Amino acid sequence: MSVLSQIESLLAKAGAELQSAASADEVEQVKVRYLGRKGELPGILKGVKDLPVEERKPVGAAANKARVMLDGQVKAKLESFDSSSDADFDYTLPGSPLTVGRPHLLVRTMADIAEIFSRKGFLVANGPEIESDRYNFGALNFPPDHPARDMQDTFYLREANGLPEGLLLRTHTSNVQVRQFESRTPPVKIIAPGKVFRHEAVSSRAYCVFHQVEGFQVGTDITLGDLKGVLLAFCQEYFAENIELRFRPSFFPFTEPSAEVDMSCLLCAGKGCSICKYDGWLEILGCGMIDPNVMSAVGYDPEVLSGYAFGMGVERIAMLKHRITDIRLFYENDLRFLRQF
Amino acid sequence: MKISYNWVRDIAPVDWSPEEMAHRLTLAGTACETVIDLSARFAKMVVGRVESCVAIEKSDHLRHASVSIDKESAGKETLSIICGAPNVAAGQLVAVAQVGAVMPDGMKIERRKMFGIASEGMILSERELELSDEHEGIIVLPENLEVGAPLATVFGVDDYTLEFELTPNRPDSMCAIGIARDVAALSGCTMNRPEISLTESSEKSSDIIQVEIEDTEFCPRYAARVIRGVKVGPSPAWLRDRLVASGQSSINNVVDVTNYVMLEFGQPLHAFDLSRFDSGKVVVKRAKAKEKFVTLDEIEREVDESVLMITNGSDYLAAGGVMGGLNSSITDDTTDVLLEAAYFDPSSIRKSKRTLGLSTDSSARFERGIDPNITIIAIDRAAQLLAEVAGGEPLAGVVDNYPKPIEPLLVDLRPERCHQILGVEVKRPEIEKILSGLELGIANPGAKTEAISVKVPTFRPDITREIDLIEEVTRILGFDNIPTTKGYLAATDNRKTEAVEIQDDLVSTLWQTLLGVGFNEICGSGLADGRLLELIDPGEPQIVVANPISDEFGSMRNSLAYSLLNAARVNVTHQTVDLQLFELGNIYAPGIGKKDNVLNADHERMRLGVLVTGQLQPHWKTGRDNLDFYTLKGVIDSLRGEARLAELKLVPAKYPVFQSGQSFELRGGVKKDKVVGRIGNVSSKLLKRFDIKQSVSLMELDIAELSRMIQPGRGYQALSKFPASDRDLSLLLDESVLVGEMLKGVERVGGELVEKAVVFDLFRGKQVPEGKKSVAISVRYRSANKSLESSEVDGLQQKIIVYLKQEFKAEIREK
Repeated sequence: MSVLSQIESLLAKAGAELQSAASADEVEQVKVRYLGRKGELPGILKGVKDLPVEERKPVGAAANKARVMLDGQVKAKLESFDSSSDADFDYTLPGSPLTVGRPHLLVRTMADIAEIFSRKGFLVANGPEIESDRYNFGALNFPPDHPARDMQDTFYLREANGLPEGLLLRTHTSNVQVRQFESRTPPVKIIAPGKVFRHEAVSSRAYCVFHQVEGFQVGTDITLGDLKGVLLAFCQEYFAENIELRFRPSFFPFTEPSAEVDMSCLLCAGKGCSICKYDGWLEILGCGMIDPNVMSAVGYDPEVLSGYAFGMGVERIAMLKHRITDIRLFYENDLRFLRQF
Repeated sequence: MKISYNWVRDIAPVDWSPEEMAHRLTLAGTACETVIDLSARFAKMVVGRVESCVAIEKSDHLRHASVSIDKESAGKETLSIICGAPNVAAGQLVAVAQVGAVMPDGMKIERRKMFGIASEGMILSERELELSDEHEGIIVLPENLEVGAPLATVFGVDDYTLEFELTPNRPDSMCAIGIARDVAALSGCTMNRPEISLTESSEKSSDIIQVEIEDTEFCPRYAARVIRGVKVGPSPAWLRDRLVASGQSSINNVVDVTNYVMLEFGQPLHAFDLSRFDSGKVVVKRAKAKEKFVTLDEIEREVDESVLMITNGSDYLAAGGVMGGLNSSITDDTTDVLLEAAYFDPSSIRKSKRTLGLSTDSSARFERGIDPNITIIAIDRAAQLLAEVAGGEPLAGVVDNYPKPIEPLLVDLRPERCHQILGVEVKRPEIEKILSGLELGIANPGAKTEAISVKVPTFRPDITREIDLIEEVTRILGFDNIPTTKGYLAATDNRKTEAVEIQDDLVSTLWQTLLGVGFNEICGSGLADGRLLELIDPGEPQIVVANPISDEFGSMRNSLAYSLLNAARVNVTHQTVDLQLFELGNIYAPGIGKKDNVLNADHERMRLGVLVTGQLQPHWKTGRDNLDFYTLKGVIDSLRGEARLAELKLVPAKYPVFQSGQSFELRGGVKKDKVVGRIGNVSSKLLKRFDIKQSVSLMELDIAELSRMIQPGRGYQALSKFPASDRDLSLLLDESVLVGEMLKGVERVGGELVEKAVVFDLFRGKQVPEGKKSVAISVRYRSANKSLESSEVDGLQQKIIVYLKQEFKAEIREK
């Protein structure tokens, strides 16, 4: 029998065996028998070198063709077995628990706020939580013994265990203003998120610790219009495009003029609902033009420079955005709460 | 502060509704948060005319009245009302509660039917309206009233209470005239101030009394007047109504007058019984330490030098500016009154009030700073009213001790500066108009180029600088009228220092990595229970709050373990027992941040704390896996990998927070000897204290220290094109062998062709002899520049086996 016809009959035999193979194992056996290292097809090919030169080429080509063909048949047969094993494939079994952790809502809220201001060129900075009177009050134009200090009930720290006297827990992030001004040359544009402390009874509406985000800009031509602009831009970006702001003149020792800012209610867009207590407005932050006394205290010339500052309560913003009704939840760290956000 | 709406409108006549007034004032910085409708209690109550009244046959006392309550339909459309009062008669004007009205006791008037007759309301008695105890019959109203008029107009409380939340810089707005002044400035109306005229007797106040001030710094001004022949009694209705609408209860006509004038002009007044001044003089002087004084509220208080006393030379009669004394108060027998109107120094009053532990309407005004020059007007006004409502006779003149008069201030305002701050030009005439509207005087009207010279009256102590005037312009102009601009987009070149930049990046990497490997972030408050801190880290210094709200918040946390254990307790209590928690936050202790001043504040350090307990969520493929110490070691590996941190070594160390023997320092740094954190299994004693009944593993790392362990990038490493060979080994080892150390040895002995050695199985039990453990490791070999021959790999593997036998007494187990 010529080598070529040997190949042909081999193909037919292998094909028939594959046809009748009843399992993947049997297919593997057929594969090994014909295509394996010591299989029939390689056996035939081994003999090729003994053939006359002119026969070698067609035999080689035919053998190669047969190998490719058989390979394909083996694969097809194996696939037919794969699909027949569908019976034990339960696609409803739960997937592997590749659990991802959640950031704390307050941290994420601060990060989101800082991100928006970062895009507008504000630098993110921090400041001490344990502060001196000067940075928390004095340099911020709170005269000693002034009723303005009553607006912020303060935790004072005991001079003990090596802690120097006269320290307190900062009542606002505005201390970062003074510290940054002291170390920088204008123009300055900074956003400062952080923890603050107030001597307040704990309830669902108030906690003795909360977070603020302070923002401020000082330059040669910074105006109240710019302050309104940056706050509107922020609120529209953070809350919703159609947000409107209302400025109510107010008083903070470190800004003048000062205002408290209300935002049109997220839920009812100003029509009045239970979230805004039928007022249509939600109070969200305090702001103003930096008081000349603050500038002077840090060696900035208030005749040349002007600037604005604002501060917002992170808990308040998170509570408004997610309709959370109890501020204590933030500090209990119950995962049933934390993992909702 | 509360003020009557009608009162404000009497002074500043505007046609604004109470709500509009509140809204406009609020947008001008005089925050009026609440409007209370005083007539609400008379809602659905009107004047009615009894058209007919007949007895009901089947009843012994009830009668059936027809009452018209509408002027237009008088006599035509009527209400049918059943009434039990004996004095109801046709033709009377009566008070009628319609269906839907709510009585003061909460009863709601409803439609009813009795004896087949409908009753559609109620004819009222005085007691039913809680006007008096009179209940014998219904109220018969005067004939001149209009049928259908709201009852609120009849009983004089057709008023609203405006409730203000005033900022401490605005003492001028703490009275009706102050509020009216803002209303006038906003509306442009002209103010009607009360006209003061009084008839004085020929006797002079100064014949009766002299005023001596020992401390003119505390008390720059003290004025007194004497009123004789006062009859103490109830105040007339108009006075009572004004006070009630302004949140003051009525006491008697004399006290009511002093309160009225305080609410009108902002000048607190005090009325003494003149008989206490038989010495003929008022002496104003500081108290001495540890003296006692009984105030009007019948409480004995300790006073000292910080309290200014009003005396008759010997007896203390009042704590000046805060509260009168019980011994000099007005009684029903008082006939002659000494009126006081003074000006006290704001910060002295603050100290005095703190010593006394008292905050009053009077101290609230003095401590913010009243007008030192309203004194005479206010005391004359009070004398006038005492004559009117208490029949008193004012003696001639005021005894006024005011050695150094306080003058109005001149403050310049440059319109261009106003422009610079606001970002919009407000024209000079408009600025002048706004300021004049607020009764701030323009000293140089009509000037063209120079600054506007503003004469600031003494009722505005908050205005001392140009910026204060700009604020006034802004609030009257309205923030809403200032256009929004985009100067906030101006770029700056502010940078972080390199160390801060590195630390910030590290924190962000740690945060993302921990979230990525399934850890949930918590946020501790920072305030902590010092007793628990002491249990966690006995003897470690704490920062202590001098005025804590409770022990629970009495110290600052000096570890993150505190917050993590608290969070674990909360979750375990709620049956969330499988926890992977972390916090990136500050701990606090005296001086701990000083040596890393760029990265930490003096008494703070930023830490990473990680806690695990319970199990990973069980799964059908992998079964159950504990969250434990080794989970934390895995976290360290992940963090090190992501943040490119140098090696961290575990060194046994004693931390009371951990179980001894399962407590380690984490060491790193250049010489690998710096303690950068701690790791271990929490001691059972502590777990008990936190009510946690399962084992907990915890670690803490110092961020500044870690930031110094970041290794420089190694640059690109060429990828090997050649295949790897894996060889597994099953070993029997003594329990004392530290597998981690052994793996390191394998990698070292195998040399550069060993890519990695890992443990993939560890067990003890039946097939393993006592004191031994079975450990299976897999070694991966690969060369960077050739395919490894199996003989070469086998040779290396043999070398490793010899090493393991020699060094670790390992027995090689056959599979």
